[in-house]
Amino acid sequence: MVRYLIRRVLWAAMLFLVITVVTFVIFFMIPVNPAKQACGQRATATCIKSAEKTLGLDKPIHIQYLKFMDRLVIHHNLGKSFVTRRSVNTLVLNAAPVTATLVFGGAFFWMLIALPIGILSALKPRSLLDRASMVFVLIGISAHPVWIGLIFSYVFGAKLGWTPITGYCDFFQPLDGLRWSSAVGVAHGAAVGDVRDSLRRALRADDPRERDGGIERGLRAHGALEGRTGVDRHSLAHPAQRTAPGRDMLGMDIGVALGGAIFTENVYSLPGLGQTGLDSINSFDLPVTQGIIVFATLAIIVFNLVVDLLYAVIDPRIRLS
Amino acid sequence: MQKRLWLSLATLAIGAGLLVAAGFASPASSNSAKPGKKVARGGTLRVDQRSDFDFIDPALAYFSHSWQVEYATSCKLLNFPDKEASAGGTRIVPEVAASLPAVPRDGKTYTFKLKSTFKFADGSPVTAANFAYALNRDLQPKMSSPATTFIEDVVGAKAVLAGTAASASGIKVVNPTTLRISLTRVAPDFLARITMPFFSAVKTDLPVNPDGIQAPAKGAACGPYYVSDWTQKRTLTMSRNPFYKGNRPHNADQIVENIGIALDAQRLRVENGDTDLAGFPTSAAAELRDKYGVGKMHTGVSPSFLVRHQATYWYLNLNNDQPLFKNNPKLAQAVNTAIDRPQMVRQHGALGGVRTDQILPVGFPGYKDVNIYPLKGSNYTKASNLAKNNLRGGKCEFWTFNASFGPTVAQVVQFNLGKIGLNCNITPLDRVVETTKAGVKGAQYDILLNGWGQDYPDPYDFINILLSGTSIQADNNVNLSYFNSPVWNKRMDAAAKLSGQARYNAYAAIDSGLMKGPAPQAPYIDTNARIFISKRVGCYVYSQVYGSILNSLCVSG
Repeated sequence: MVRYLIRRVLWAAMLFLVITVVTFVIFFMIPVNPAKQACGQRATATCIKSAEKTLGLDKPIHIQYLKFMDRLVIHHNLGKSFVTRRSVNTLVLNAAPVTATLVFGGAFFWMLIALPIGILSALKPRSLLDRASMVFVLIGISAHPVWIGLIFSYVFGAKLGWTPITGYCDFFQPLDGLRWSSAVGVAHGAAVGDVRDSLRRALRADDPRERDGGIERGLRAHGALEGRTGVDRHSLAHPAQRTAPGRDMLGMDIGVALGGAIFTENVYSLPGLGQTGLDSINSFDLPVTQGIIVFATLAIIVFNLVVDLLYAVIDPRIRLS
Repeated sequence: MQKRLWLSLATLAIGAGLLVAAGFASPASSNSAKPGKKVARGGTLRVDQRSDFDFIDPALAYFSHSWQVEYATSCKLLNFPDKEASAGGTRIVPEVAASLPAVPRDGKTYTFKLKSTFKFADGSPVTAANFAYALNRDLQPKMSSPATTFIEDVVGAKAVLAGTAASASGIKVVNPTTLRISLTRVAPDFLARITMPFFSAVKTDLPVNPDGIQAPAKGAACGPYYVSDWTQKRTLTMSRNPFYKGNRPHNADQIVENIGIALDAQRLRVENGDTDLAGFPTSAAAELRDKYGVGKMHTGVSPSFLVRHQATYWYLNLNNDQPLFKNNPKLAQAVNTAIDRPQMVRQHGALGGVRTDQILPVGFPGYKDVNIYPLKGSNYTKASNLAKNNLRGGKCEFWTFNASFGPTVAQVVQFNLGKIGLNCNITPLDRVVETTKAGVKGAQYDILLNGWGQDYPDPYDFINILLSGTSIQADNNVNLSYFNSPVWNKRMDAAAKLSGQARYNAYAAIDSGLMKGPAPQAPYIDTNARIFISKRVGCYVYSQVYGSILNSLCVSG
């Protein structure tokens, strides 16, 4: 276990280094000077020179990269925005909870829908319920989150007036909980469409001729015994077997959901990591882009590590070494 | 096959159901004012913004919507009246200054006498020292302020910028109500420059901090409002300055800016009464025009759709630094004659602007309408005659930006110039990349699509800045036509030294002379601001410099 952990952490560190280097290199390949941007449309050489010093752009790229790593690793500081000169730590920490509520809220709704449907479909393949759920799956797979988001915003916000059309408010502000629920709840609905319903498909028992597919394959892989319905009640009672397929898919889909948050956040004007990241890319604001990439990379690495470790905790037959 | 059909039908039914539900649903009516309700002083004005503000520090704020906030919160020596351009809104008037300064014989020293009635939002008085400190703070190298380019000609400014002096020797506080500013050269446009928000009064204890100030920004607010709260990426709130005694209007109790709202949502929010002033997608302009009419205020009844001239124009730079257009005025004139301006203007959306063939925008100081090139469409016959024997191989490289109307305007021009035998290759680039690459002398383009908006209302900011060859450098150029004619440079320099009507006449002559002769640009549109406001809003005033005057707007409910 310890060796596995060390190996995973080393790989994570390597992955992290590669991602930050690539982001740095790509940024400096683009012929844009943030110091010139800071000095406006009539930038003078004097102003550009002093802005380069203020923004730390007066050093060679490798020195800038080493300074970035030093700030990050030693001082836990992501630097300052080139455009607004605000602390990137603050920007990321303000944006992360918004994205977290969206991604985990979406994941919660998605689990709430997918688990019962998946199990019922597995128990009653080719039934009306199975086919109806397939329609739901197809919509989830085919419709882009931007489209779903726009339709929800227009129908529930502009036309029905049940929710705000767009915008975000803090849950913890007085009396804002209800508004938060209505605003973010609809965005969660849109986010559900983005998770591709893969969990539901993983849980679904398909054609009896393909008994190696869906939940049965998942459960068999995790030690379930065959029964009359294809799922032995004893095996379903075992937590490791009950949650194994969904757990695997959740681990994979959380990264996809983070990416999809960019779309949902933009439709609903939610000030999360996605919208902040997109704005920073459009304004060539490297520290903010880099900060969000670092944060998202760490989040995905940690999340996947936790999912992997759960194998060992839930199912001792899995050997992590 | 039957099963698939069944699935498709079910999917179709769900989709149709959603659309039908949307169609039958009644509009939301939250926060809407009752029809006919009178507009009064007070209430909260709500404004939607697509992007956040860069800064609320007057030394650093440079986004157009940041300037809108600065205009509502700051006080300046000289300013513009809160009036429409047609009612004198572009005329410089004293604000904190008691009167316009008398210009001495040498034309280089300005003495401002100040009123003593202005106060910051914390109650402290505004004196000459506050303006002097603002100017010197802008010049500090640590601030890296975009303001420096506009005050480099103040005596001693270069020493401060170089870090060898703490303050500029040309900025003198004679007494609390007298400020004297000396320049290194004759520059009558200084009075227009000093109206910029960079030079508004700030308290002398405001730190020299490149990160700028944060809310509540009482130390930088001596205008009608102050920024009382700014939650970045979410909202910015302006509250009334309780100590404001000036004569500018301040109708709403509070102005709340909602940040990060998508344009399509902004339009719906105005129609639903959830916000009062917002943008909309360009593609919706025609629909709004048809639905609400143009320029009619429907306060208390329905939203209003207004159109105003901006001091911004778009044009083709014809690169005089490359072989195709170098010393080739006939071809430049041919391009100006061949381009289909109506078709190019249409790419900016309904009511996007008016056609032009001049550098100075319509109605701008120094503008004089002259009929030079066809505004109603291409004249290929005349253009072909001009281009004959001047095509120099007939190939051109056209750089445009890769968003909005950039690609389609380029395609229109490509088609037009193809008709006269000039075949252009279009290279679409990100807008920032386009201007950065083009700013390097020797950049390999022949034609470049670009736009320019005023920093301050003086023809110098267009003619000299964009076309004087004396400012061409190795990098970071804004004269992207790389036009450098000793004769014209001399004329521009001479005009820059004039003041009053003589100045405007000289610039009007340069504007038409340049376009009739060397034609280093092919201007095609003076853009419009298209404004969408809710039925709660009245007292609307638009400024060519600052857009909608937020402190003037009044709201019902």
